[in-house]
Amino acid sequence: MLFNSYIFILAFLPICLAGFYLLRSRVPVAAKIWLISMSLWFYGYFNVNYLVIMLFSIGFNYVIFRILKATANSKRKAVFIAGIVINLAVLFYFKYFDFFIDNCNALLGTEMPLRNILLPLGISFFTFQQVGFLADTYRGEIKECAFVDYALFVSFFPQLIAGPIVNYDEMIPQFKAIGVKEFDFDRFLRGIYIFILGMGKKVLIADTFGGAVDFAYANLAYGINSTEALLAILFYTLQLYFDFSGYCDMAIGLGLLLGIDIPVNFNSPYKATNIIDFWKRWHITLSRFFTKNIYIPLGGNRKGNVRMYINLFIVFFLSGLWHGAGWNFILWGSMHGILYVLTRMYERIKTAKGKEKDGETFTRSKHNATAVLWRGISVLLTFVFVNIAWVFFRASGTGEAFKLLSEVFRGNWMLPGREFADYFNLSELWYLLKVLHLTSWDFSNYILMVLFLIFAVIITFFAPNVHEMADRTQYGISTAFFLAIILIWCVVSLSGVSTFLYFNF
Amino acid sequence: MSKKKRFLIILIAVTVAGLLLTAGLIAYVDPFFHYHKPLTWYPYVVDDQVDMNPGLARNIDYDSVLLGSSMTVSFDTSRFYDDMGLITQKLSYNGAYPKDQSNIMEIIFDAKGDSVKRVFLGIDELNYSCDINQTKYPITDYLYDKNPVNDVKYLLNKDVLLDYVIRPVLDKKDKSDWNMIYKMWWQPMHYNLANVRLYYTPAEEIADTTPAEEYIAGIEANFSANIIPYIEAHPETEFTIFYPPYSILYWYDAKRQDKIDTIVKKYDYMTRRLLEYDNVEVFFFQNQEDIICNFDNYADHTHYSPEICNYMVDCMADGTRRVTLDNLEEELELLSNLAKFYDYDSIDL
Repeated sequence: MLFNSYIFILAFLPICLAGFYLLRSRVPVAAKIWLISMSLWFYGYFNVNYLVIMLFSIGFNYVIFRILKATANSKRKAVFIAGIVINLAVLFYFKYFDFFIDNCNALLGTEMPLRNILLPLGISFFTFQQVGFLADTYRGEIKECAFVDYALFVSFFPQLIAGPIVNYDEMIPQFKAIGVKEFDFDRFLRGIYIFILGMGKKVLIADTFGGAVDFAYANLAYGINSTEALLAILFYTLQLYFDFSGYCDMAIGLGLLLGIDIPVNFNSPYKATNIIDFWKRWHITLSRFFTKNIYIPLGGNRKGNVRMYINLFIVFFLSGLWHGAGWNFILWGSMHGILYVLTRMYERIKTAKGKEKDGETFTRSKHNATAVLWRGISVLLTFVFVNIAWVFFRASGTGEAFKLLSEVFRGNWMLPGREFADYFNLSELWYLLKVLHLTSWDFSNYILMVLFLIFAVIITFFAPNVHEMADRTQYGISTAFFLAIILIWCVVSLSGVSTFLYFNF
Repeated sequence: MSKKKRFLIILIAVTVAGLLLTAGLIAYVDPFFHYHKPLTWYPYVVDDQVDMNPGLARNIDYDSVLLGSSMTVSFDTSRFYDDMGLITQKLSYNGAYPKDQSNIMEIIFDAKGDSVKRVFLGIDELNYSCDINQTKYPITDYLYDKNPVNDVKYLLNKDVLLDYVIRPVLDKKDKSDWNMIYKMWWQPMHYNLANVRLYYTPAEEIADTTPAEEYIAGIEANFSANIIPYIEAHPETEFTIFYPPYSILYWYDAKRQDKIDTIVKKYDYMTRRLLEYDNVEVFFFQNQEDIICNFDNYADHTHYSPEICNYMVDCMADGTRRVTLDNLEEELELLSNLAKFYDYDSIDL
């Protein structure tokens, strides 16, 4: 099930919390088994068959872990490699097999049928998490881990579907402390705060932008104007951030409700001044995984600069492939990889020059207006690049991505269509315009779209993120009302009434 | 009480109260008639066929129903009462496929059983060869099934609350005329050739090479799965089937695609199959030159005016234009000749 669903909010979460807190201090193991059972319900709700795959994956990896612990040094490597290969083979089969066949057919002119394999949700996440666990074990960083803790580590529902990708050392000690540590009311309230605001980001902001984005992509083949194309690109950039970071906020909030800290995954990424900075702020736990398990084993920066650049590019190439089985994802990853490498080169040169001048230029201008301006320009340029790259991420293929980008440069600038803007004209806000007598204005249809855009941009670039807000909140009555209204607004927005226009009979 | 406890209690209390209030309001007004009859004082806006038809079928008092596509939305149901004394509920689905009819008949007979005296069903041949499970629009599970748990999607639904509970009270002028629900926006001034021209582009001149038998096999499958079972299961109910009279431009398209004979064969098959049952009567309006060749009866090339609807009700009341096995061949020949030999050049397109 999804966090933003009736069943989750109205049934699953209350039952889960009640059961957990009933068992927690009395029988801690039962509380963990309770959480595992709830996680299996959570996951199996999507598709019961997925459960088999995940249970197999948990069982298999735990066996490999035990063997690794029990095997002498000479054979450990073979066991470790076998474990990794089988994990990746399963991932390959479910995620990449059709992509592979498709490319074989294109290259070799064959007609091998596609399998149309259903991708089990979250398989990329739980596979990587377990691969990381085996790697930590192989490196000798993990001494012992009970099966219950391991099963909970993999299946823990808050971060099961979409991350954050967590490490053994940040989760297992917390699971072991279940029932030992006192209930922390502050942490519980912080969880509520972050969960509700995360849901607001996802349901009220991201999904609203998403409607217009879907409309633009769906109508790309029939022709959209340049304004719509440009806005669709910008809107998707905003949608993805509010969607993914909102979902991660919900995950983190849920963790806190259960007394578990889950690492932060987003730190105002569009405020980044360059692409390196961006990747320190966007999907932080994925970058961490790749750094630890790909970049460093490849040699990191220890084998010279050229090798370091190649390693960095490999990481981004693989990151693209991890995000999706398609050339558009690979192109997306490669774009980021190339800019990342170029930025690293530039920084090296700058640092070298800075050393020659004792770093005067930079430090001296740090607080003056020029520095602020440069910072603004850097943020803007990074944002523009990220926008363009996201087109390849969202599009169904490279052809569609280039088509959307080319629409921008066609110079067909005109007002977006009413249907495009209508995705922002939510009934509740439209009433507000009516009360203000703004609906009779010629451009009234666009008011909410513009307001949404301004609001999202302000939040993205200038406002503190949810975690920073949680640090500052005083938990007063007004905050309680504010959160309750957001939660109610989200819940009643989970279902809509589809309107079907006209007839053709 | 500590500040933080108070915070939590207020948060939970306001949330629960807000959600209960929403659900309570929706259940009380019940704008989709899912739980009860309409409130007498409430200005309901009835404009959502997919979501409202199931509730209308279950909870409204009626003894006959009008089913079909947008070809049935312009009927004034009071005419059925005036002509035949029947309290008729309109349950149209724009673009309806046979499965749409089956879905709603399932609910009608489940709710009303033997009390349904007549079912008036408009059949569009074009839509009866499709997959037997195809519906025009996805049905709304929580309104069509009997599972009370998924009603949460109705009771905690922002669109239902704002557009169907609050808006009708604020904009009372939108209140629906119960006899004319789902009617088209066209006014009398829109029924003329100029308006028809706005919507009409002649079909491409490419022959439809699909054999008639293939279409008929599709109709047979749809009849067997979606229509006939209800006719057989309810011998006490009279099924009055009619073929809506599209304008002559419909036949112009058919001629340009060389499928007039195919369509005539489809009508022939459907009528014979339906007339196997004693509780079925069929009305044929397709070949009435005075109706279909007069564009003052049409707002586009298929949709006819409320006056034509009234005329059809009158016919269904007194038996005019009823087709039987005795006159079927003759009526179809008339249609075929009209469609094939009409002077289409005389239409000022």
